[in-house]
This record gives sequence, C-alpha cells and structure tokens, in this order.
Amino acid sequence: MSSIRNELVALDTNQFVFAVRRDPAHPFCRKLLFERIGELRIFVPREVIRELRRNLIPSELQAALAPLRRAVELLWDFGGPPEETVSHFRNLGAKKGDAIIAAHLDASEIRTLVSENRHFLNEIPNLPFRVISAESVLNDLG
Amino acid sequence: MPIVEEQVAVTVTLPRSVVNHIGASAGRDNHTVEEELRSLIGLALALEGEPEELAAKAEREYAGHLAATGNERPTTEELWEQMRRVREEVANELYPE
Repeated sequence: MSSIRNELVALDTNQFVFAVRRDPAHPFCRKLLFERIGELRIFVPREVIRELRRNLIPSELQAALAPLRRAVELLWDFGGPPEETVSHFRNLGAKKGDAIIAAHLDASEIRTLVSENRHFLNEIPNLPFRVISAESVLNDLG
Repeated sequence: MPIVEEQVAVTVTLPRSVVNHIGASAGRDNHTVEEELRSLIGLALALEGEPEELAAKAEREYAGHLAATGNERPTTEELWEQMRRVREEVANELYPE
C-alpha cells in the first residue's frame, strides 16, 4: 500500500485555488481534490483557511472545502504554532507567511505538504517535511 | 458577484466551555466571537452538498463576479502573486510585529 495513504498530509492554499479555478497550468490539483481526495488523510491548518477566504469568493470557498468530507480522515487545526517555532524558521531565512506554515506543520508532526510551489522554503536545509506536487501524489496513489 | 443578503440576528445558548473555546480561538485570530462563530458555521455548511455541483455553481458565480467587476480572469502568474500577497497579509494579522 502506498505510504501517502497512511499519513496526514497538508494541502497548501494553491491546491484549492488552482483546483476550483481549473488553472490550466495545474490540472492535477483539480483531479486530486475532486477525484482522489477520498484516499487521503488531510490536515488543514488555520492559515490555509484564512488565506482561502481572501483568495476565493464565498461560493468558491464552499466548493473548495466540500470535497474534504470524502477524505479518509480530516483534521482542521484552528490552533497556531508556538512563536519560537515560527522564529526558528524565520531565522533560517523564511518569509513570515511561509515560516508560520512551516512551523505549524512541524509542530503538528505533519511530514508532507502538497504544494505547487516548487520553491517553498527550498533555501532551507533539512526541512522537517517534504513538499510534493499534486501530480506526485497522484503518481504515488497509482 | 457575491450577493449581499438580509442579515438576521439569532440568539443561541451554548455551554460555557464551548464559548470559552470559541473565545480563545477568536482571540488568537484577532476575531470577535461573533466573527468566529460565523466562520465556524460557514465551514460547517461548506461540508454539505455535492462537491461537483458546488464547483459548477462556483464557476458560474465567479464568471458573474468577473463580468460585474469588469475584470479579466487572472493568469496563473497573477494568481501566484495574489496568493503570495495574501499569505503575508494573513501572517501579519496572526503574528503582528
């Protein structure tokens, strides 16, 4: 069985936005969210929810979140990461927004972030989680 | 374009522990308790309905929104730029310097 099915994975904001907007450069986001989400255990940090509220109109937000109820497991995390963990990633050179996300995943022991941002914290060595694309997840699911 | 609906005031009674939890969550996000409750109800409602139908409705409404505001559909790069900007805005709200 594929390992990605056995762990909680976080979806970055861009997964939802590209899926709902059917972005032509990122077709795998739509496929993952609307066709294969039922095979995954999903973690949604509060930062992503807040960002989605700003990036999408209300009906798009509803459309973006509705598929999540098909997930094997769904964990909404409305807490925040410890400030010292945020500072740790900022001191390593991360932008504030990226540092908060990284700290949240690290503090929650999430080891996979699905994101189309290939440059997400790529300047930081030994990230405590991997960053993979929707296409990679689909390949892993088979 | 989002429709501005009539607003209706509702009074609910909740256990103290639930209110305390919501209040703490609202405080972390610099929200009022009312804003936090609206947000939580909105999330709960978002998990209702068939995703494909909701997606189709969202696409129609977004097309209407673009037409009403006279905007073009953003390019991929414009979406990236918007997402980067929003990420830093939200970060500054959650962790003010």
